[in-house]
Amino acid sequence: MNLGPHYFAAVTEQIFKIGSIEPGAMLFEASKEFQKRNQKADEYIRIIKEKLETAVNQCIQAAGHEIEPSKQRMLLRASSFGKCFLTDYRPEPFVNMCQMLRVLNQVRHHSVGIPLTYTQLEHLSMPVLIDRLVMRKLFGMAVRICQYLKVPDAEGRSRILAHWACFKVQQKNEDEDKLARAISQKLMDVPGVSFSEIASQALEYGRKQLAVKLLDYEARASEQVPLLLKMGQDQTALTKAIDSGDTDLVYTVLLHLRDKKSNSGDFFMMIRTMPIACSLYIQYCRQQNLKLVEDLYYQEDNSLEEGNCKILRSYTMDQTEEQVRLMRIQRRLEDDSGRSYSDLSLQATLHQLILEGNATWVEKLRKDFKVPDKRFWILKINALAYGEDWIELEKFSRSKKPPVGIDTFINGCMKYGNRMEAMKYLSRVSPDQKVRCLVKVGLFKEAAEAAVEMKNEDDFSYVLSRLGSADRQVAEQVRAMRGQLGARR
Amino acid sequence: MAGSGAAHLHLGKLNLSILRDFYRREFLECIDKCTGTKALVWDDGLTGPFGLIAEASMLKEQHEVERMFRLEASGLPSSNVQNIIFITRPRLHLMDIIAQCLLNEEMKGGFVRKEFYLVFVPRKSLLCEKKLKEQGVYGSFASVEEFNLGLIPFDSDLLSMEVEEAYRECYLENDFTSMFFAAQSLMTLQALYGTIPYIYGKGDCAKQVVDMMRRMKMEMGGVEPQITPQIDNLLIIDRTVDLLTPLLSQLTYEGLIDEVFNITNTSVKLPPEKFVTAEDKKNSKEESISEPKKFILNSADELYAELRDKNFNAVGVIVSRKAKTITAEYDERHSAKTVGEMKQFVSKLPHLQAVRTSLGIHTSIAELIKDYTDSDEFLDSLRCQQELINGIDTDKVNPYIEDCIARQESLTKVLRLLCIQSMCNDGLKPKILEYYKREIIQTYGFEHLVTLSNLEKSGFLRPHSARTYQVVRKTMRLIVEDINEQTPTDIAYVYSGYAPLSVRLAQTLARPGWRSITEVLNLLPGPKVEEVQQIPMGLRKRSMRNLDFISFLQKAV
Repeated sequence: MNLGPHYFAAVTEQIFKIGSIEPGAMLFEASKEFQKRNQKADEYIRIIKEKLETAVNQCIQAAGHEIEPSKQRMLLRASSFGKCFLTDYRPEPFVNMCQMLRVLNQVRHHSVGIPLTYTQLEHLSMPVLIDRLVMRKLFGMAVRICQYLKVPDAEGRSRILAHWACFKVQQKNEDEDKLARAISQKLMDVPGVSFSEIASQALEYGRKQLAVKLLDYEARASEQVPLLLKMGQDQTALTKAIDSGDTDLVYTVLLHLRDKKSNSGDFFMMIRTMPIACSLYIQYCRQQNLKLVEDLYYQEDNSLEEGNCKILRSYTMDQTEEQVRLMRIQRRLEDDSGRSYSDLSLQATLHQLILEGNATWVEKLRKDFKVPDKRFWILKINALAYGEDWIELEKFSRSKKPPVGIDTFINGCMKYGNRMEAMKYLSRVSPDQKVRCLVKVGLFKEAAEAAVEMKNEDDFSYVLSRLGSADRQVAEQVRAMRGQLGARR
Repeated sequence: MAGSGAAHLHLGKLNLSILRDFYRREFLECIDKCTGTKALVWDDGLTGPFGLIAEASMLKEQHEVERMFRLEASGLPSSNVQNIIFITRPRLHLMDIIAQCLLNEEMKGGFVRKEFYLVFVPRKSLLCEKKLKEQGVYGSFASVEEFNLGLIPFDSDLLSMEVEEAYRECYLENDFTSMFFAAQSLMTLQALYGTIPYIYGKGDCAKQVVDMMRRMKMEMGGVEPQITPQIDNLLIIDRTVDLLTPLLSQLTYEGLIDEVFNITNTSVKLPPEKFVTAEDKKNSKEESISEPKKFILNSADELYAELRDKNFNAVGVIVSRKAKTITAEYDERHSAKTVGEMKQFVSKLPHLQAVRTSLGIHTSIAELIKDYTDSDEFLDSLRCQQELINGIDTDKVNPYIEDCIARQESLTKVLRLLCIQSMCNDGLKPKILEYYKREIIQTYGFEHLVTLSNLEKSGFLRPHSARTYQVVRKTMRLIVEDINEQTPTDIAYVYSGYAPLSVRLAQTLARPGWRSITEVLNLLPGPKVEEVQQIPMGLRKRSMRNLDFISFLQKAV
């Protein structure tokens, strides 16, 4: 590096050469006179009026090439003075130069000792200079420069602090606890610092405890978890993975653990206390390997949850017993009749037996399984209608104390398309069901008449709403009846 | 690249086409990574959602997508494209199918060397990749990517993740993956629309989502979206807070279409008979008519936008009024005398025709729905529901439910009613619950013991506990007498007299705030969440309020 007197920049020469009439030189003179409160300042400015902008720029440039802060200051003052006479001069070059010089003066200081010229810095670029400072472990200065120059945190402060932390973890003589605390204190509120990077650095230098402590500060679970696994911190890894809510991460840990633990019992014991891990694993097993689920449930049985399981089981016990009974009977029926009843619900079994006319068994099943009367009746009506056993149906309707209305019979007949049969029951329908039943069998006119007779408006509008499927002529007649209803009132 | 067919998305307060375009861009980037002709192989569960983001025609014309296949065990149809891209959800059983397809292809050989790609939606999964490795096909993929599809814009005011099994996964299987995705897609939403300053929530899952969002924010290391917040409030409600509402029969136009025909990904398939025009009949033979007809239902259809949220009882009036105005506008052509007037009329024609077609469609749909709502079955069930939510005889065995079981009506209907009764009675007495269970098992079969036990595990059916429903019903005014179905003044019109609890919660939050209902909130399950996210000074604004909703729906049956 040669800072010898022979290599002046052209612009320096233009300003300081004796007798120079360059605009920069004139401005420099003017500024000096101005500080002396001499009116000559005005004269000089007038002379270079046209070239004032060039003058200002020359002074700024020249300042950059000066080593002495006092000279830098004089030149900058001159350019600042010149700027006052320009209306739309952009301030950036001036501000920029001030900043650069400040940085340069700092690094030139003997405590740092990087004697850099402005031109060199231009070629080197600021990020490289900062890197050099980092390499020299001048972290504090690098951070301050970044903050001064408003470098975004990601490239500036955060990055440098991460370097600092990585350097710190290499210092073996420091206490781990203290170190971890120091690092976290400095880096906690710094966005974008990768604690996992620092932790892996620590791990590389064989400081596992420190790495674990540092990793605790990592915000990104996807970075944190794999490293924790690498360090054998299984339990922590699992907790962190679950906390993140990222299922994939949980599986990463689970599969890692399963492969690692030779004894599956250990593995189950470990995940047992974590319901989410547990259920995720069960789900995975369900799709992969049912035997594993059984193992897991077996393990569960030995645990505190046993009580809960038992309660749950006794709850469903009754139903299961009943099902076993039903299956036994179905088997027997099969043996007797040679027909299949397997996989049928009780309802379906009864339905089939009714169709077959097997009254004994129907009655037996009905009693055995305590089928409620009402349900049994509806079932039997539908089954008979389905089997088109109209005679039996009619007989059934005459039984004592039916728990359902006659309309159920009409419904049954209509459901299987026998309108004639349905009409037979009409005379026995209770008055409040009459209109609806008439509509059901398609006797709209009669229904309307009945409604009019009973002066029941609700029923009448019900008839009206059903007219969609009625014959057009009938529909007209019914609509005409509306008047009658009103008139009689 | 403002997409066609998505014009309705920017009609709302929040311009959702930004989100759609974002997904679209990301997806196209994802498939454009391979050069040359492509075939896309779709997991069936994804075709619907993707149809809302990128149209098949656009993919074919601009992105060299020559073929589209369904992912099936039978393998891929033969084709001579250069690249095959599998697009799939991370499900293990699908991995088996993909592996099978790959092995088949390799056996077949062929002249053209094919490249295979795999795209996971919404995320890669360790287990799936492991599975593919086990099957020995993982190495055959040129790349394995993920495409992060989260909240899909359905309409100008509606986003959905289309995760049907979320409730089951969370409350039955203890698998909260879907909540992680929910949190992620809310982060995406914030990246596009700015940080949401106020977050409120109720319920365990809501808390979990907010916690995860906080975590994700931290993980991003302080890089915040530099956008003025366009969403002011976010309200997250865990479905467990309001289990009752989805059990009740929906009574709005859209709700009923969904109830009867099931809307998925904003489209619905309807029986074709009503929609056959005279021309169609002439042109086609019998068979082609028997296929269900598909309709897309969204606010792009002016008439549907007006009808969708109306109580079905009000739909008839609107349709007939609209029909009259349209006829009147058509009649204007008779009064048009000058060339200028004629020209003006002609310029209106396309719009008139569109409205007329839509009128035709909705009249037919309304007729289909009316057949259903007029049936005794529907009316009786509705009456039963109304009684139950009003707390009438909820502590006894309900005769109507009993009848339904005896008549072997659909099990879903029976269970829905049963769960409603359980909700409205704050659980059933053990004796009554046992009775119902016996009835159901005897009638529908022993295998439903599992169904019932699942319902119990997930909180739909439970033994009697502290009375909360009555208190909540009164304080939150869930039951409203005298509702006006035509021009409603209260949200209760949607269920003809019942206001969904979740809506009431949102209303109270907007005014006067949740502090006024602390007691009710304490009665409802799960913690309450209130979180303020700091917004940098420069990005703050004063403006209208926007409420954003999420609820975790679906039944566990």
